[in-house]
Amino acid sequence: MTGRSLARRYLHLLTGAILVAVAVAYLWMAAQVRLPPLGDPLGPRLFPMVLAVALVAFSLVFLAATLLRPHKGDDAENMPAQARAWAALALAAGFALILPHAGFMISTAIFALAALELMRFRTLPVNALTAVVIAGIFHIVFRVWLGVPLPGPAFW
Amino acid sequence: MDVFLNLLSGVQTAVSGGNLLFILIGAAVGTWVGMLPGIGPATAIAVLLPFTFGMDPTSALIMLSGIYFGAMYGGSIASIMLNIPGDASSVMSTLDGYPMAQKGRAGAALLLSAAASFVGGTLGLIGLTLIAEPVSRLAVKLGPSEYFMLMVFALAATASTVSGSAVRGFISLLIGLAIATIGIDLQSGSSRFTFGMPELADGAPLLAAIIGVYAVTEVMVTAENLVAGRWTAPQAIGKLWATKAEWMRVRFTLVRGAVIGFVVGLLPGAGGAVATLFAYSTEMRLSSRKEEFGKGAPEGLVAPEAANNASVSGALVPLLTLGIPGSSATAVLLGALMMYGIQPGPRLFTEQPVLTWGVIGGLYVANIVLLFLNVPLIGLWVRVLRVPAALMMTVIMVLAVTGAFSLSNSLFDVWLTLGFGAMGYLMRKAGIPITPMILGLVLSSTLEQSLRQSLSLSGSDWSVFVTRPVCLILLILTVLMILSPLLAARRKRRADTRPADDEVRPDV
Amino acid sequence: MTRLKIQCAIAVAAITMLAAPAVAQQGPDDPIEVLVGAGPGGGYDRLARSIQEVAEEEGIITETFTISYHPGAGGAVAWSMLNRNPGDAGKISIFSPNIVSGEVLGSGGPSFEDLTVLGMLVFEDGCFAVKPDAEIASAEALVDALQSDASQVRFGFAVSAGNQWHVAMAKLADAVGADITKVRSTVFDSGGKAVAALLGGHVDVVASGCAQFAKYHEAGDLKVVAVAAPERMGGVLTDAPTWQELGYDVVWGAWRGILGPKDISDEQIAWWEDKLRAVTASPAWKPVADENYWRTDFRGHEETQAMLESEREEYRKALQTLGLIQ
Repeated sequence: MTGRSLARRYLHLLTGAILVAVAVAYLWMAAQVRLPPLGDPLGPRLFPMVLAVALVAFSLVFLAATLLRPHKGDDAENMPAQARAWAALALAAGFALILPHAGFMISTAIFALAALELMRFRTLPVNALTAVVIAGIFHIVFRVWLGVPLPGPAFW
Repeated sequence: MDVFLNLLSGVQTAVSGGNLLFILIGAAVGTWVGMLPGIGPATAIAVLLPFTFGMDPTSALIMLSGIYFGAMYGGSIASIMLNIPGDASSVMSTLDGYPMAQKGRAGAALLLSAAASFVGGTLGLIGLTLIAEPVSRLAVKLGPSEYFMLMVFALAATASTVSGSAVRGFISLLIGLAIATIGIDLQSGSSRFTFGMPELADGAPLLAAIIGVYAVTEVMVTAENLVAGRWTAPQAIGKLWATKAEWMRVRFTLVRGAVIGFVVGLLPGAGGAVATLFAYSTEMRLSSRKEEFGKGAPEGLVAPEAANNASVSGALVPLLTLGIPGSSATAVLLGALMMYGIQPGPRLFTEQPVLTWGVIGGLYVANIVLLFLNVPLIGLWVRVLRVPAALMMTVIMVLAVTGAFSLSNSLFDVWLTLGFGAMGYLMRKAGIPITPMILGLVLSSTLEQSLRQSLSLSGSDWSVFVTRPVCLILLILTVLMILSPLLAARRKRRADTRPADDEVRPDV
Repeated sequence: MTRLKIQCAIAVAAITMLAAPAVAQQGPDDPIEVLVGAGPGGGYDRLARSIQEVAEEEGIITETFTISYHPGAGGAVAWSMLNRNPGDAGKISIFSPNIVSGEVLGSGGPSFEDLTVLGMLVFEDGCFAVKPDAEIASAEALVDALQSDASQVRFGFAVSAGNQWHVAMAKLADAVGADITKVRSTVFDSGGKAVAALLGGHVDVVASGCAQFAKYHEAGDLKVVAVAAPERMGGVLTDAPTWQELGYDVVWGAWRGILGPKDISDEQIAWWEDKLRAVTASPAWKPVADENYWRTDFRGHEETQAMLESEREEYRKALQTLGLIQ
């Protein structure tokens, strides 16, 4: 098991490590849950703690299995592609951030343009037009027709 | 005979005075809205409720019920075409529906799903028409102890959705069970994992999780695959119709799924998600082709589809006979009724026969309307697969954000959804299945709380779980379900070791 | 020039002073938004809509009402959203005892002291219901059971531990001399499930708002054996005695009022007090209140503030007795 093959499996190892860490954190927090002086026989702590212990156990098994298993898959080669996935998420986060300030239509148009560019849809002008159309359609269907409250200032 | 007369008059109400138009509108709009990720029947009804203000209550209820049914049909379409369920009751449809579509059988999948929805809906309505009253009296006999055992049984059933590593399946399930513990504990009022934020006091909303791990994750995965050049368009659309063989395979599934859906739907503590789960796992246990499940087995699609439409009628049973909602969508209907000044209770059928039979009649009509609405559109839906992925994903992401916001008019839910999206992505990459997590989220609260309720009420007496008859039955069923793969393997080994007949028997 | 300016200034000042009372009585900006801290159809929603309907019908409030839903934490999510607009008297919400019980339990969300309490409108006194053919089928039977062996009494309620119905049972236990901590209490996550549990014989008694039980009492499927109110309820519940009639001083239940963000001016507070008082005193209000089994008893800003302070202490003591907090 070389360092290189470890790097190739980094995503599985990362996930396994995150799982273990989260499970331990969950266990710790579960132990802190306020126990009322009186109450039902099991109390609010038992169930989460049982789950936490099980989760810690299973994630350790998962991590161990990942470390010991013969290498399969090509995580490292895919890093640039994976970066796109995270970029897509980041764009969505940006969308959520500007929504309350720029209003629905504008934010949607900006986001849609960015997303289409990211996924290499068509040329920039075509993407921009598509983005505006998407924003418009959404606005009409959701705001005007369904009257669903949308984030952001009233009109846009 | 009484019942038939009532039903006829109900249908008459449903098609007269513009109500037919309302059914049409409700069914169509419900289907469209139900297709949106995370917008299931409950949200669809809640969103479209304001349109019914000023309408006559009977007409309004008929339209809302049409929306309910429509949303069930619609949720399936997105599950099959995009692997993005409308809500928890469409989750099981993704397991076999999506693979079927990816293999070029999208038309068949949609047709089977529409047929299953129709049959499930019809059988459920017959149940509602004929046995609502006695069955609801029986249903209330199920208390916290029975619900706990039912949840345990459901947990055992979730194993049927996992085709890969058991360890990963368990991790997924545990994650779901754990996330649902976030919030203020029902029995004690203690805050668990809320970090002092009132937004988390009721826990992480199930729909935020569904939108996140299905829609957002799907967008992320597609973005990655598109750029890596790994994205493959689904196989060329094959025949739009299902083969005779497929129809033959599912003929009993339709009925079984409907019965299970109806029965589970009428329990106030269990809804569409649990109904579809039981339908799916029952089908799988009974099938001689288990290994096909999860890869596009028609039974795997038909069972949950029949179940979730039947569960609509099931959920209406306690609402109309006792005034107790049987699901989250019927809870919204209850709220609507109260807003119209109608207080549902044990005498709703006698006090408001026009309303109750009108709704039931309306559902029969809606069921037929939806069949005729959806089947011709299959050709259209199938073309969705040809929309360029980049465009589709962009639209889906906007839908996801909008849908998440509409849950409680809060951006907090949007952030939760994006968080779930990240989690879903990591899970997919690590080969950890998604379905058990969602099921864990659905089952966790009822599982934990009903156990504690039961122990509080029995005075810490654990024996109730074996002494109460229904609990005992459920316990036995659970054990059988856990053992069944082992039993099946044992049977298979015996069959393999038994020498072939023509080898041993001497020629005569 | 200067003289003209001074004259103008005096004129402006005079006009302003004359106009001042009119300005002081000016209400919040149109439209008024009611942030309902629960889903549609629930108790908060019904009060909001009732106020809207009656105010419109009687012409008491001419501004438009918009109702938005922000469910979560028993109302705390909606209340915490109010302070995003401090001083804005056009954003209001409905409060219930959750605002003090939540504070005592530490559930998160603002205290009423961080907001502006505008007025208390209605009381929803508690009804105690049993199943008619069960072992405990009357008020006497319930009291007997509590006194002889409280641990055999199974009590169910909704929707959160330590809420008004939980405390109502504790008050009853106290009045009859029983130990509430022995009673087998359990919480259901909705009123419907508590009723289902009672119908199925899984619990012996449920306490809730009377509207919850009215239809079942009428149909004979359940029986409201007593109400924790100062007077008997109307409608179909006129045959249910009050606990006071039966010799036990138990008057307890939910109450609902209106509050707004912090820093609302005194004039705006007075405006709301006037309007709400007028709404609850108007003839159109009575049928609405009766339908919902509400007891109307309007209290203004100061009085409500004081009431909430004392209720908070009551809940603190009650929750300690119940063993939910130290």
